[in-house]
Amino acid sequence: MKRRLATLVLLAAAAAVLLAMQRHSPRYDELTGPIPVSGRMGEPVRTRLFDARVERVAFARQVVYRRFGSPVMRSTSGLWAIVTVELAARAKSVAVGQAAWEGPTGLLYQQTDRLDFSPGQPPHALDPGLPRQGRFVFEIRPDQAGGATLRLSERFSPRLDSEARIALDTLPRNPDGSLAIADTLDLSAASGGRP
Amino acid sequence: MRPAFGKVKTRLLAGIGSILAACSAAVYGLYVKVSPPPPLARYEAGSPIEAGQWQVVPRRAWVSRDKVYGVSPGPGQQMLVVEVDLGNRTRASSSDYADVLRPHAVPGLAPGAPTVAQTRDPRLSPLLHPGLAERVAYIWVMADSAAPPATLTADVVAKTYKPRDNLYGVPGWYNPAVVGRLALPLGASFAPGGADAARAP
Amino acid sequence: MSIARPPEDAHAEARQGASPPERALRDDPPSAGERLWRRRSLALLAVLLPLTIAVTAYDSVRQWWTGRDLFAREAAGDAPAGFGGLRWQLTGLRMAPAPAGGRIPADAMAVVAQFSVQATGAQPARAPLECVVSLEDGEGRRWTPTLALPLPRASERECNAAIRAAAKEGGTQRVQHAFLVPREVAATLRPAISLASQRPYYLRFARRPELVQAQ
Repeated sequence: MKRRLATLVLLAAAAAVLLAMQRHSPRYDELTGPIPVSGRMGEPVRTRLFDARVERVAFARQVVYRRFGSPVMRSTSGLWAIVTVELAARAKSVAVGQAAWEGPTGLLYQQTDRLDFSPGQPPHALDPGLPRQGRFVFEIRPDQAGGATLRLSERFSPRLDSEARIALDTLPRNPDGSLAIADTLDLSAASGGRP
Repeated sequence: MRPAFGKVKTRLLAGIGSILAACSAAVYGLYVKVSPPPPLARYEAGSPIEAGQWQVVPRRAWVSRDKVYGVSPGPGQQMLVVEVDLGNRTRASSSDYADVLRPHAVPGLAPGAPTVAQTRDPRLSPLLHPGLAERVAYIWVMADSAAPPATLTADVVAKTYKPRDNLYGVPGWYNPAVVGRLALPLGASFAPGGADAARAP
Repeated sequence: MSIARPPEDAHAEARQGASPPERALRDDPPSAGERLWRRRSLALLAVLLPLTIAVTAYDSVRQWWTGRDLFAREAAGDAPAGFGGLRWQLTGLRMAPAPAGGRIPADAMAVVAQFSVQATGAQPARAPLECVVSLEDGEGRRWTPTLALPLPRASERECNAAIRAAAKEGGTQRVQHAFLVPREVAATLRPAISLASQRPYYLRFARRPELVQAQ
């Protein structure tokens, strides 16, 4: 009787362990997916291929830029978020092209594709020893502005490659504490190399 | 020697599970084939449609021979334009909206995916972001000689969300299915960018 | 099924006809021969396991090995060097300070490397495939060609087009690439040519860039 009870208990314990393992084992996508490197604004985040330091974030309701000499204006029903990052390649030349804005609730905003031929568009080509500023522009829903994370990588959906995840904790604020949103932001001003 | 009858009874009892499974599968299959399909929901202009990844609010439809939102018809062609507001209901930016509307019974419609143009800028196949609805125009090419019907009927196709797919275990949207039927009056050629083409949906 | 046997032989016969594991279960001590073979099997396992791992991982290891530029083949002086079935010669290596602005970061030096490449006539074992021209410094950092510098249009082309033309038409093709490097290391850089079929070996030249005045 005791032996039977012991066997049953052992079986139940084994079943519990197996169930826990089955529920929590990572799937193929996670196992072969990006390797995150976390950081905060203002401090350099070192990934395999490049170092990134988010300098500032700006919000605007409209962006303007010059395309072939004539001004172009882009409006949005949400908010334009422009992130300026200082990027430096580590051991070889790399082009950082992929950036995403992850809001506090997990919504993922890819870079906007509406800014054709504007200056300073990604992918930003980096050479070792020559740090430069890169700008990433997103179109986000206004409530996703605070508590967001910037995801940077060389290409889309890196497989077993590092992805920088930088918490955007220092946002421009008005004296009364609300988010500072410019009416219009000119993208033609200083882009590319250091201003 | 066991009596033959007993052997049959034993075998029957042993196979009762598989017999039940086969019978129920046959009955269900027959039922699905024989019973009438459920009625499709009907939609009109201005009614919001939950179509899986997208929330579709149809606005208006017309046929045009002139340039519409940066898209021009080729020689001997006219364009069927359907303006809708598309809202992204998924977690990430996506441009998987080519198959959402399927017009039928339109004579002379060229097969193939429609061109989708954003009305805000002259841009084709825009990336739509979660929570930011945009007005887009679906443009199909028709033969110039075909006479368009007075009302456009289109099927609204939606995919369902699978938190883990069968191959890689990643979330995705699969199995497109028709969730409703849209009926829009086909108007005369509208001038896009006019007073009634609102910027914000 | 089995033919009926007389009962008095059944036990002995059953014992003899049983397989070795059954015999072991019945408290028969294993014979010396059996013990020897068990030891040999265990020893063989120590050989088989690494062998299995090697066979299954061989393809991955080979891909990893041929994916990196590890060993430099030095080209002697300015004479043409054979590499990957082609003959390479460095014909020009010049550098000039690049003015900052636009897509060019500050403190950058523009380096232009020019090569001539020709097919040797002998068929290479494998097609050269992808060609990457780079500049290397002493620490192993690599600079690959940049698109930010406008180059004068000339008969030079980029490396992949040149080796395809050399293989198809023969003759001597000219290759030209531009790089953006930091000013402090520019004088120590050496040009290197890497062919996908020759990895992990790559060709490296000894010449350093010479400073010229920017036009």
